[in-house]
Amino acid sequence: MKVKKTSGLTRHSMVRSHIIEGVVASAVYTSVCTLIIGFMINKTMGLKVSESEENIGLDQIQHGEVAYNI
Amino acid sequence: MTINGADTAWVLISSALVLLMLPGLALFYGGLVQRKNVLSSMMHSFVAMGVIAIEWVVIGYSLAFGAGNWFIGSLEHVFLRDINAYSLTGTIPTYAFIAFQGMFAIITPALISGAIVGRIKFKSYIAFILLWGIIVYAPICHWVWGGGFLTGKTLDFAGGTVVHISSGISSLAILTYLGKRRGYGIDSIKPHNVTLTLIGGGLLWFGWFGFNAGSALAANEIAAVAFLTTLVAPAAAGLCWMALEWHHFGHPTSLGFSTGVLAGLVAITPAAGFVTPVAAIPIGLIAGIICYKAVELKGKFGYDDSLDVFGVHGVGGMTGALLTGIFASIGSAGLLLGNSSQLVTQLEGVVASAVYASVCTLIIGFIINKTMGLKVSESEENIGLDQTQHGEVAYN
Repeated sequence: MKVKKTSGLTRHSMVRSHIIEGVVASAVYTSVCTLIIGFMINKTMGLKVSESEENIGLDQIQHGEVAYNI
Repeated sequence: MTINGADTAWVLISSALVLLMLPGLALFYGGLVQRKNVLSSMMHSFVAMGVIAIEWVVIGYSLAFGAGNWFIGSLEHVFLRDINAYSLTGTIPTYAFIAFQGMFAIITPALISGAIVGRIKFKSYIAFILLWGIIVYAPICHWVWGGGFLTGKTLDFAGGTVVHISSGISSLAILTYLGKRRGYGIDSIKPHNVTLTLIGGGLLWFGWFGFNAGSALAANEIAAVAFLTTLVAPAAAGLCWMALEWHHFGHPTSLGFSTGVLAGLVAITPAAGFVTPVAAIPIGLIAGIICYKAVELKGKFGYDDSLDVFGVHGVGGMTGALLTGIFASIGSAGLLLGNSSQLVTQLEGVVASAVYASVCTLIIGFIINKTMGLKVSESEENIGLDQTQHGEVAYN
């Protein structure tokens, strides 16, 4: 790869600003979208199981099976 | 032809991937049985790696891929005679081809072991897979891939007919002599460790990329087609199975989803490099529905196909073979492209292999049953095969 003749520091800071841009963009986008998706599903289908279901465990409640019969 | 490095590398890697399906199968089956039969079930897959690997280089490869006639290969390559390090098959070394095909020969009889868990004598099992590998697998492999009467006619990209129909139908045939496990249909015989089964199912899917995409025998476009269809069809079949189970029993079980995935893998096997990735969706869905119904049959008829080898591999293999005749579009033409004769040819392959495999399995089973005996005694069955056949236990 041909490297431009810029100083190490300049190149470094350019790369760093690109990284920060990527981190911020993806973090903001994914969190906002997940909040919206979660809000919609929560309002329509509901997200969390009931307290008693949580106590019994999801294997039994959600899938009707158990992992071990040893 | 000259040797191609990329093709050689891909086939060698694919061979190793297919071998990984055996521990995958061992885990899949091992998790589904009771704790007293875990190691014996796993051992059925493991010992196949020993027995059939040797059988393959001694005689199996020659019977499958030697010139021979319409029915069976010749003995020209017994002990790999007349093949050396520089022999080529297409663009890969013949040794790579032998290795790849050998993995198929190994896993096919191991698949049958799922139907007979918890009640077969170990030494009789060894005799059975050895005879089955020579008498059933090698000829059917020769018919479809080795220059026999179906070669170039029946579309079987990676072994729907050679591997899955042959093993699935044989698993039903061998039950003639082995019957049910004690307590089958009376007590519920629960899987002892579903997590093992899921890991095994995952390894099978992983290895299946080598099974199907490796069957292109080249690192090329067709391998990529087969790779992608091997992702899509099992996904569709797993979801289909899950939906059916959810609808009928109120719960989507992990076992149901993984069984559906397996049905999809089986069904896409003959079609893998002949259909588009989008056509793999209906293939997976149809296989999911049909295999789901097929697995229900054992409840109706009362046979103990313990881990659904017939329902998934036998019926899934037949379904996939016929669907290949409908959806084929890459380097071939199926019914949807107006070639109805392909479907007839597919049916020929299904019937020939199913009839031959079941008749031979009945004969092999009969002979072993009369000489060595196939089934363990009642008390051995109660104690479990781990202890009685292998002198070890899975868990302390």
